[in-house]
Amino acid sequence: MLIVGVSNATNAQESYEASPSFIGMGGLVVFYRTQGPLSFRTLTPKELPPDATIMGEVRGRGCQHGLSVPLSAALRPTSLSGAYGDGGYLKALEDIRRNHPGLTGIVDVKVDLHLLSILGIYRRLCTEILALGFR
Amino acid sequence: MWRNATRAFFIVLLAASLAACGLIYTNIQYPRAYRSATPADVKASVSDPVVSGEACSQSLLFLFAWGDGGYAAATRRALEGRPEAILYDVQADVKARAYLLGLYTQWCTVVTGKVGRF
Repeated sequence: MLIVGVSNATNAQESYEASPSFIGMGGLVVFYRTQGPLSFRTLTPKELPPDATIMGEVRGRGCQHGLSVPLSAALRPTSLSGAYGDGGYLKALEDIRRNHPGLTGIVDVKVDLHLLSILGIYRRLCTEILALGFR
Repeated sequence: MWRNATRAFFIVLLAASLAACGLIYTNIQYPRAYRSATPADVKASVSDPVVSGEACSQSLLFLFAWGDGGYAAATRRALEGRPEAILYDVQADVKARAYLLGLYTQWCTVVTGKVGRF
């Protein structure tokens, strides 16, 4: 028998951990209006309604975008930056519903973050959901 | 003082190399959350095979970073050739490698679990 040396108190604490994923912007931030993922208690197959039918794999995503404009040509220049976009769970789920009308819900949910950065000037952080959809 | 400066330098270098970000171009995916199934969630049997899938992102010369090291890619690899299956009793680990002072780094998500059915 495998005994795991973690107390119940630690387990309970970890269960409630939630950390937001915001796009990071440096320099002088002149505008920042984004949404990022915090927590999402997803379904497991056991929690499916009895008459549910699995429809296959579904994907959705929501993105935050950021722009950082350097003010000089120095190695570590001061920059003006701004960020905009909805990269939260809600947006990613809306994306799934739009692409798969009639879907009741999702199960076996995997969530990844997708970071794209070009020269540190343009940045994009997307929340990507891959799951099984059901009706 | 020299010792502290050296230690700080290596800590910064290690952090930069393990962050797997490129100064010029970054296009990476990394894991955020996965509420996997338990044996009670699926049709489980003692003969269900244990499979493993690994997905990695890497960086080179601190300038470029690329790769899909997320849960979706790792589980897809674990379930390759089993389109109707689902993973349960899943353990997810991360694996990091850095060579030549972090000039090349690799950061992987490793998903291991049993193959079940609905």
